[in-house]
Amino acid sequence: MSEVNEIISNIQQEMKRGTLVLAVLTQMDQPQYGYSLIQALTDKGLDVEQNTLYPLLRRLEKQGLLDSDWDTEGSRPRRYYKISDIGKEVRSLLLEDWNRLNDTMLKMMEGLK
Amino acid sequence: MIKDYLYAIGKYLSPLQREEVLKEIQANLYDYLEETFGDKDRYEDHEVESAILKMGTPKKVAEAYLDRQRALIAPPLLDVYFLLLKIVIPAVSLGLVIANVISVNPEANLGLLVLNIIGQIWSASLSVIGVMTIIFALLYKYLPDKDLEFSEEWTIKDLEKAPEPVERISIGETIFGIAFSVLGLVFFNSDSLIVIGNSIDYIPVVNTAVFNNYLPLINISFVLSILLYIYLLIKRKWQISTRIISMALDVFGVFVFWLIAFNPNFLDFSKIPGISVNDGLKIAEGVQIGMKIGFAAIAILVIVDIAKHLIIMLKKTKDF
Repeated sequence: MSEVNEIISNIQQEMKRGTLVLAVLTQMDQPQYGYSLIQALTDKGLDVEQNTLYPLLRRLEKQGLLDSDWDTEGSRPRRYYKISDIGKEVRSLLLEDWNRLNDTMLKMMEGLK
Repeated sequence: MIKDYLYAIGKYLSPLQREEVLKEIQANLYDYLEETFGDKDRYEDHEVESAILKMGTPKKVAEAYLDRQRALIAPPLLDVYFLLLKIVIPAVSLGLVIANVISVNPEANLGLLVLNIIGQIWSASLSVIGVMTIIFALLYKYLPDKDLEFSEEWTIKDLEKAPEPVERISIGETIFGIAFSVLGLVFFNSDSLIVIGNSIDYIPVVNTAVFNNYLPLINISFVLSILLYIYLLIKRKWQISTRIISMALDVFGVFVFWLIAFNPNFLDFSKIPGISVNDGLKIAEGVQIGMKIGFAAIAILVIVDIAKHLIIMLKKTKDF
């Protein structure tokens, strides 16, 4: 049974990983720093590990999908990320794909318990 | 504690991105502390510890930030690297043993001789590992990515054509070729072989002055052959370019052998005790005839090898 649980856990992780970029892009219209984004995602039901999210934010910034700025006015420096114009274009295309995929999955799941 | 943690992470990061990444990780740690334990000037040790444990082990955190897997040798080349070490180190060891045994003084202390050989093998093996690692590290750095691993944007065109049966290299022949070339390289460069001592303990039959003229040519021939064999092991197939290089090396090797076999001054038996100059010349002549016969045999083998390459190349041209 533990083997089956491991398989299920791996598949769940893969599914989550596959949706993470789009999930992040949907939450970045307002500037977010790493931990506030984790909370925003958790509040909406998506638990993400810090070690997964922080490097992802840097990668998305490198790809030009996010912009970032260090805020040094507070007691400690904090890096804020926000979706870029390219990021918005990419997000809009990804959302179309997501909706198509969702329709397809719903059709395939019809009749399944 | 946070400083120690950041320092540990920094060890796994590249110097170019280290400062920026560590700054960000530090900010993230304090964000976690602030959100979990409130805004404070100083956090308790157990609070910091929980923040660090939540973040993960230094290696895992650093690896998540790395753009490319850190490696000195490309993972696809690791097997070839270890295979080569397994061929080259025994070949070097054998070469050193042969060279030492040939020049051994019959009255030498056997224990010292063995220790000397072990010492030479140890230091030669370290050099071999070092040189091989440098070669493979350079290959990883400068070979285009598609030669080693497909990037995520690969297309069918990136697939290299699988070799036809005649293009496949023979692993056995390649391993033998590397072992033979390394052995030759070690043997001919071994001090004990080329030193003509005044002592009667040595039986010097090679004229050092003449031999030293040929040594660079011999070395070039062996080193280029080893490099060709390594390339063949990586590519696992013959290409027109490698066939041409192989034929050129064959011709070059035979040319060097010809220079040696037909040089009457190459051998010198006159220094052997009890042998007169005339007798020495006669023995040298006899051995030289043997070398010429050897040369003829090798020349025939090389001609056959070259003919084999040419026939395959001609067939391939006709197919096009």
